[in-house]
Order: sequence, then C-alpha cells, then structure tokens
Amino acid sequence: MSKRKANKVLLIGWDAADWKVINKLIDEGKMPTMSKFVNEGVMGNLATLDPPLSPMLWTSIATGKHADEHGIMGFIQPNKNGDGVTPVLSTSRKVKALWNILMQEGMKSNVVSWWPSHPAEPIDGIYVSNFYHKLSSRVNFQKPMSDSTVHPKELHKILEDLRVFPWELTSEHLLPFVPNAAKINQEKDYRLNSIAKILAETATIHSAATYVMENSEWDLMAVYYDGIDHFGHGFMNYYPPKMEKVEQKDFELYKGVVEAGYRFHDMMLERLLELAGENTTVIICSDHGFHSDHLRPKSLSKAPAAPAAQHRPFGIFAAKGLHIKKDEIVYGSTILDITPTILDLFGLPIGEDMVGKPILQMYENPEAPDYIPSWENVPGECGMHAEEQRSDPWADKEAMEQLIALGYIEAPGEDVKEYVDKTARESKFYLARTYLDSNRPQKALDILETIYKEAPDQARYGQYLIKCYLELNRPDDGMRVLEKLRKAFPKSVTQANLLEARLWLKKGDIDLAQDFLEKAKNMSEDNFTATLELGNVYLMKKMYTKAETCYLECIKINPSSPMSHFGLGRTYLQLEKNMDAAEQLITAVSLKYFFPVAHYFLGDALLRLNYRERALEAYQIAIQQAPGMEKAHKRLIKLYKEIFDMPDKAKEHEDFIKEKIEPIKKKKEKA
Amino acid sequence: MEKDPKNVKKETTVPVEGSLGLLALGAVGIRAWKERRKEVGYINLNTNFIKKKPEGLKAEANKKTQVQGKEDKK
Repeated sequence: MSKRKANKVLLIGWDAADWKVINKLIDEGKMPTMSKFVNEGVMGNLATLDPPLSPMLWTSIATGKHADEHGIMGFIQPNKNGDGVTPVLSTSRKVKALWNILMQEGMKSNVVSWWPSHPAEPIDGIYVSNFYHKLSSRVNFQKPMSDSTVHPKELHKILEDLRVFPWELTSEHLLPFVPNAAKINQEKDYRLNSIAKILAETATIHSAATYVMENSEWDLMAVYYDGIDHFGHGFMNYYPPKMEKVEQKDFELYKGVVEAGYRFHDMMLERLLELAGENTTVIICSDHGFHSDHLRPKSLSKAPAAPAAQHRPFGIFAAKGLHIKKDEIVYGSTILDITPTILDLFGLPIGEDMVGKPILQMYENPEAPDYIPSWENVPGECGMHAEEQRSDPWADKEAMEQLIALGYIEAPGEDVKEYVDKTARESKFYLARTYLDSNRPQKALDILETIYKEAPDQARYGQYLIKCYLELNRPDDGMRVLEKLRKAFPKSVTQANLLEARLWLKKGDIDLAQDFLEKAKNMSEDNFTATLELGNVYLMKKMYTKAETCYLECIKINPSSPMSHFGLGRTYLQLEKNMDAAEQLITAVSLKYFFPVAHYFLGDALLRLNYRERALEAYQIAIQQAPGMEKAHKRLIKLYKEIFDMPDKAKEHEDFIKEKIEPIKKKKEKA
Repeated sequence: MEKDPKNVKKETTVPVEGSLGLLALGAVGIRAWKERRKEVGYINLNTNFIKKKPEGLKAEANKKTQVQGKEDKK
C-alpha cells in the first residue's frame, strides 16, 4: 500500500495564472512569497484541456476526469423546467470530487468558492459555495446570502458578515491598481468600478478561506480565486507593452492593474502559507494561462465564450512540502493530474477511471501509486447532493450578471425558449470538443452533425465538424461541409483555406494543400498556424530551405511553440546540421515534455553526434510516453545489440514488438 | 470553535480607510477594519471615490438577466 506523504494538503486555485507574468514579477522582486515558494518546491506547466472554459476545467481538476464524465459543460445550463437557464451548479456534477472521496476515507475537507460549487455540499468539513463572493456594486446594499451557500449552516451568519463589498473599498485599496484614478471620468468610464468589484470579490473569498483555515480542523483545504482571470479579461489589453489598438490615455491609466492583481495574490498567499503551517503540503495551480504578450488576440468574436481565446494552453503548477524536491522543474503535467496527485499524497489509491496520473516527478523518492477500479462504486456517505436538488434563482442572478459582464455568455433576448435551446446546443458543442480533445472523434461526430444542422449560422460548429471528419479520415465529407461554410461565410477565407489545405493533405494531394496554405498565409500577417502547417508541407516535400524559413518565422511569432522547434529540428536533421537539430529538439521537449516523437528524433540527432547514452535515454523516454512506437523500439534494439552489447535488453524490445505491437497492426490492417 | 482574532493593534495598525495589507490578512484583518470603522462611526467616507454605473444601465442589465420564469409570466 502506498504511504501517506502529506499530513495536510492546501490546494490553491488561481484561475488563469500564468508563468509568463509570474516569472517576470518574481525577477523584479514583486512576488516575494511566490519566489520563495518555487525555490523551496517544484514548478512546472500544467496543460489545459479543450474547450478551455473554467467551470469545466476546475471540475476536471477536482475529479481527475474529462467533462463528459463529470457532467459540467460550459458556464450555464438549462434549468430543470426548461424555461430558463442557470449558471452551472454543483448539483450537475455526476462524479465524486476529491472532497467526497476524502470524506469516505474519514478525512475532513474545507472547500471555498470552487467553480462550480453552489449549492454547498454537505461534506465532513466546511463548504462555501462560489455564489458566496458574487457581490452587487449597489452602494450600501448587502445582498443577503442564499441558504445553500454555506455548510454547515451555523457558519452562515459569521461568513455573511465577513464579505467585503465593492462600495466599502477606498482609495487606499484602489490607488495601487490605478495610481491616477483621479483622472478618470467616472461618468463615462466604469472600469474603476470593475476593479473594485473584482478586488472585493477576491478579498471576500480570501476572508472565508482564512477564517475556515484558522477555525477548523482539516486534512484538505481547497480554495479557488477567480481574481487573476477577471483582471486579465478586463485589463490584460492594457498590460505593457502597449497594444496598437489601445489608446495611450487608457494605457497610462490601466497598465498597472494586472500586475497589482498578481501582487495582491502574492500577499494573500503569504497569509495562506502562514495559516497552513510548515507541515502542510501546498499545491498552487491554474486551469489555463493567459496571453500577456504579442500573442494577445487583437479582437474577439461575438461567439459565446469568445474571451476564452485570450487563454494560453498552459496553466501553472507549483508544490512544496514533505518529500517534495526543492527548486526543480516538473514536466508533462495536465490539469487531470491534480486529483490523482492529492490522493497519492494522502496514501490513497487512484481510480483507474481517472484520466490523470499522479505527478511522481515532484517526489525526492517516487514510489509506485496504488489503484482501485473506481471511487464511484465505493459505498458510504460522501457528501454529494441528491440529484433532485434545485437551484436558487435569487442567488443565480448575480452570478449570471457577472458571466454576461465578462463576455462569457450572451445576455438573453426576449425569446427565452430560443435562448434555452441555444444554451443546450452550446453545452453539446463543448461535449463534442471534449471528445475531440481526448481522441474520441467517433463520439463527437453525431453531436456535431446534429448541432450544425440545427444552427448552420454557427461557423464554429461547421469548422469543428470538419476537424472531426479529418480525425475520422473522411475528407470528402469534410469538403462538403467546407463548401457550405464558404457560401455562408464568404469573409472567413483564411480559416476556410486552412481547413481546405488539411483536407487535401488528408486526401494525399500535397501540392493542393501547399497552394491553400500559401493563400492562407498570404492573407494575413503573423498567421502562425498557416505558416507552421506550410513548414510541415515543405518538410514533407523535402523543400528544406523553405521549411526552415517558415519555422523560423513561427519561432519569431511565438518562441515558446514546441511544434515550431520540433519542425525546425527535423529540418536540420534532414540538412545534416546535427548540432542545430539537437538544440531545437531539446528546446521542443523542454517546452512540451510529453512529446514522444520529438524525443525519438532527438535520439537520432544525439546518435549522429555520437552521444550514445543520451540517445538511448531519449529513445527510452519516447517509448515510455508512446509504448507502441515501433521505430523507437527498433532503434533501441540496434543500440543494445551493436553498441552496448546487451542482447537481453534487445530481446525485451523484440518480444514487445512481436507480442504487443504486431497484433495491433494486423488488427488495424484487417479493419 | 472560533479562536480569538490575532493581535491586530487597532490604534496603530488599522487605518480607518483600510488597506490592501488588511485585506490580504483575510478574516482577521477584515474584521479589525470593519470594527475600526464602527468605532469611529465611519460610514462610506469614500463612497464617492467609486461611482457606480448610472441606474438606467444597471436596470437594463437586470432586465436582461431576469430569464427564469419569464415564460410563466407571459
């Protein structure tokens, strides 16, 4: 049985926190607590999932499961009567969250503001729902809290009184965010009001979190802060360097908001760590990052959830505590790994039905974790809601208003039925994207075909249907949809050309694919995707100089793109520039560690440079990550036989190919 | 179950206008700030610092979000 490695665990969620901003502030000495934290523990990227929508992602973080399993789809859901919509609720979660599992194991959890967590679940511990911190800006208005916001109920009044309202904040609180606030014409510009609301809500979450930490016994303390995400959506466009479309006056006023938001979180972190004490293992994570540089989108579409385009695909992971390495980087983690990691920290088995894995790299001495088939079948009280529980319309309203204000959802029009239908379709769309993101295109197909038929005015539905056909190797069906899209959306030429190039590539016509990619690339500046895919086509056509130019252009646009470094590394391999190839491929795997094919080609580059041991290591990582990669096994067989004189090891790989890989290949050929 | 608030010296460390430091201190800091305001009879001295949205806009937003039960009323 796996041993318990943590006395207590504090899990801090910072929505949208991003290393690009944090590292800069750490270097400038502006996040001293975070700086000390990463020096005393491990840090790394945390890959997000698609679609990158926070309620879905935070539920994946708390369950270790994809959205189709946990049941939370998007920001809103049709209500049970079908005559309106509500924000997503904890009652919609179909599977046990971490705190439910811990309750069954006799442990106490405190949960504060997790998204979604309303109504509060009756767990063994304290539970404050995410409606707790949804506040009104109305002066002197202390919105009463819904009965189902806090568990246990005896804490209701205490926590109600601990809220901080936007209208209570003063210049002392707001000038650090906007030093020249006095220059704002508040008759026309309401942005100071937004800052006050975000700050008050963040302080309210922190108020509850610190109260329950200090006044209760707990094994797990999980707290979620949405402030960094909200400051990002409201003010990242003013973050330096100035974006072209931003007016100089606005830039000068609001350029410090995002930084002040991060610094405030650093101050709150100091307090959380103080209350947690030295013997607590602490994990800080975010569900996705947030573009803060030249990759910030220049404009956002009007489609629902469009602000998610500002999200970067990598969030943050940092951990410190007993048995955890110090000042090290961990690679290849995803948001699905958080729950398995915490179960392992408590010495509990991981559900085999959880998609994630524990982050064992963080331990000084990693041990194999234990597994059980599923936690869902473990009987006993776990604190989950009964399914029939209803939502609370009074409490829902503020949460809905906030989602509309952030641009995540549209304000409903007069026709409620149409709005409900639209919401239901949007949830299905997110489900289909979840299937596509987790390599289950067959499951996505029916959904996408249905919703595209129902709403052909939604280009996104058609585009994802084409992606699905591509995955299913049905380019002709994809072409038919593309034809309709071109007619319905004659202005979206670049996107259509990109899709057509992929379809021609799937049909085996590289020349036509090249034509369409060149068109897509020439139609807009900085077209990263078209340039990258064009590089891939040039590489396939052995046009190495052109491929090199494309990849270098991509690296200029986004230096942290693993695919660009990978493509350039492969190009250099073909050009026999082996040292350059190795450098590019090392960069690719350092940006994205779970990248088996990049490790494989890195092995090739290292072998050519005569670094035999390191080449061996690279091939081994490739097959650890992709056990079915036959070509890596073959390289290892050759190395073990011809260089290392280890015939037994070579035989292991020969047997693996014979017993595991070949039968699958034969099966595929038959199919 | 509740512990006493930590030693937050009101006279010397709790400004009546509050501070980010007090907010970051969490429940203890926020309580100390609220108590301090009560002691000196301070009510929204700085309310005018943040002006809220004009009522018309707010009312419009509220109207748009009152979705539930609308069908019933019709």
